[in-house]
Amino acid sequence: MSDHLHERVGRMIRHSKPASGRFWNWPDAAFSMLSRALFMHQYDHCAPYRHYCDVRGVTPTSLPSWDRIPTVPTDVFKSVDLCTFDPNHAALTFMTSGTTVGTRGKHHLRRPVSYMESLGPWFDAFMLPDGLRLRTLVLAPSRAVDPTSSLSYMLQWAVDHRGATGSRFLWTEDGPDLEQAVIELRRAGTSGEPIMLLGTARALEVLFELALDGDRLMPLPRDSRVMETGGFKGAEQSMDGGELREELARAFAIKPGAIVSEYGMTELGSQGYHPVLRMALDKPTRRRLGAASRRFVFPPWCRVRAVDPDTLEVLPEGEEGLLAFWDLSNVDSVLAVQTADVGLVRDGCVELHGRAPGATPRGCSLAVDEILAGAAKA
Amino acid sequence: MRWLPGVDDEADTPLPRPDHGAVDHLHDRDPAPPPLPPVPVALALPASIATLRRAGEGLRRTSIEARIAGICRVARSWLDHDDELRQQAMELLPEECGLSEPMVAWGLDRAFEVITAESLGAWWEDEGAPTRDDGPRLSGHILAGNVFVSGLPPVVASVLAGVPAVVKAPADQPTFPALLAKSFAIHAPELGPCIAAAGWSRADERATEALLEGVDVVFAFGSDESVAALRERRPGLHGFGHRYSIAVVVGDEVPDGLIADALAWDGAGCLTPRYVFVDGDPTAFARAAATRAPTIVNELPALPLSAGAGAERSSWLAQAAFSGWSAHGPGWGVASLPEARLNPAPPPRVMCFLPLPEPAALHQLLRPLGSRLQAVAVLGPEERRAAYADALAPLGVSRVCGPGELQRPPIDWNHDDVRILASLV
Repeated sequence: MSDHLHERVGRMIRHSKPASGRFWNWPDAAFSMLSRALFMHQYDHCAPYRHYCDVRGVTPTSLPSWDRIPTVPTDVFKSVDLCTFDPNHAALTFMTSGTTVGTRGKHHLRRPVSYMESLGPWFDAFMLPDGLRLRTLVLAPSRAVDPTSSLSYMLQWAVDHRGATGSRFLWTEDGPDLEQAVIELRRAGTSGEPIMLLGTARALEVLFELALDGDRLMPLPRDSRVMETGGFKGAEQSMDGGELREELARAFAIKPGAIVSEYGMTELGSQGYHPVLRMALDKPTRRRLGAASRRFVFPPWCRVRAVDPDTLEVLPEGEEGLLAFWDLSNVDSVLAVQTADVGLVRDGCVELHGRAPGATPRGCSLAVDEILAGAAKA
Repeated sequence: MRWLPGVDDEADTPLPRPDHGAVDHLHDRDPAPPPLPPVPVALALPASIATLRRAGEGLRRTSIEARIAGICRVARSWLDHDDELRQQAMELLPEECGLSEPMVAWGLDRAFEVITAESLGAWWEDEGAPTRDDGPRLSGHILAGNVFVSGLPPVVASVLAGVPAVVKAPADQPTFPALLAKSFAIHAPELGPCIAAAGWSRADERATEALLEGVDVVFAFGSDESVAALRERRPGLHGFGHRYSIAVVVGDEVPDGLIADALAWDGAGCLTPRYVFVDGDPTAFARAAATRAPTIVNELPALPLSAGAGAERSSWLAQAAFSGWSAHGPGWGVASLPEARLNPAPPPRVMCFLPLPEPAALHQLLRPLGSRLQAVAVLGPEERRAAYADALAPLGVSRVCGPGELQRPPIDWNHDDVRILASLV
């Protein structure tokens, strides 16, 4: 059982409060020791992963350093149950949205404890650095609507545990409840009570377009803030992240620094945030991060590196590559995850450049998968 | 870049032949006026087509020996690394086609080394005679991208048959056919203007219409869909759709040549062995290939992978490693799977080793892909070779060869049910 590992991860996370020296980064030895323990557990108890690591020639006894723990591409979560226990006994199973073609990836959690330990402090540090308790409005499905979504789980937690009275989801079976959103935002503007608006980038974009169409700008009270997420996945967006943030700031008459982007995915227990809001309020953060207000900051228990798309070797700081994560909140799945997202890493923070576009087919070779898919449909 | 006789000054100016003396009157001309913007392809093609039709009369009157001699001079010029046009191709094609310089050089060498007096003579003897009086007078060629020499044999066959050729290249890859046309003008001027070439987008309907209406026979390369769409507009068109190839190894080792077959054209060709079926433990074969691949990749290097291609490749290799085995390095990947299955298909430059089913079972496995099996490389005893060749014949196989030979088809290779030269005479 992995209870002792959950304990160790939780203890380390709890010792990483903003005032502590471990808030931004753990000593390498501490990260290394815990990642090695988790790797051993995952290697020992997840047979498919053990086979994979053997093929890659890396075992717990031969592991040279934490960044050599074999990363698993996110696509593999679609075809393999990557967990150290019987997935039928999972306390939680998050599934990918299925917006990209094919089956949905599954992330099984035996216990949500480390996920929860990871979620709270980092959300608080970057969304609520001033310690306010705000009425929280959410433009995304609730957990009841989408029980398999890790995003809905997180947002439900924010409403339930961080939201003031009147917090709610603004979502119907058909998508964002825009009319109600406009009413709620207007009410907030009139009441002077600051709010926290959380939503997917696409839903926020639609809300902004609606506001623009009717010339209905919705100024929000001081101390209000917005979190947008999921900008590079799913439905088509007409604006990039920067444009969206600018337009939202205009529509809500708030500072661009009050609009925080979040980076998370089903396969990772931890999340990253733009530190803009925290930088505005916290001098040490400003000093530390300098001009990096639009880079994603990950917690010290989740390290990220850019890897070479060809060799998968870790790249030097500042070089663009595919993003790979070593996330210690993934206790009972796999801690090393490789994404198809492109970006660069500086001082542990991620400058996200987007999702790597699929390779363009070239030449006269047959697209075997397409033919087989067509044959299967026929 | 384009070469349109009857339209563009460059294509109409007599060119000096390095081997046969310069044309003197070139030196007497006044300094060239500043160049005019080129006439749009759709407007230029009818004029160039008319020019080639007229020139075709002369080409047909040329003896077959003279045509063979001219074509061979052109082929030799492409094999000459000091040749100006080859050098120009080497400057432009890598970026244009997304291939490494050694890969482009390798592709040019393989494409032209099979063009010899002997091979052309044999081809003519086999398919060229007798010629019909009502045979085609002008051929059209629609090329696909990247494997830029794939459309070369029908163009060569056309000139061999005394039929000028009008070549459409993809808009973003016009260089090779234009330089090929120019090389004929330089090295075989006695054949007259015999090739016109330009690149345009398939969205330029007027240009494509001008080509389809202006020629007597059409050879088109591309996806099954694009070939079918063209065939609707031009019944009788000879189409070459997307195909795949495989290898069957009944033996103990993976020949280096088979690895080269997999790496050639960055694994994007119809002659790339997409699957290697082995009579034995696929992982043992894959491990052996992985030890040789880093050496062979030096001869056929790839450009660095894009992030998207890298993500797809690493994902595929990881999935293979979860059930079988995989390894990779810059420009190569090798995997084995415990059971013979086709999807998800391996990405380019990845050799996928699978257990070899019996001939009938292999036929059954590949049957969902239709009659799109282009070629099979077989290594093994003669009776096993024959058994697999027979079993796979209904799937469209037009070539059975040894490992290392897949990507070196002879000039007279007839595939996709088309007798290329015979259809031109």
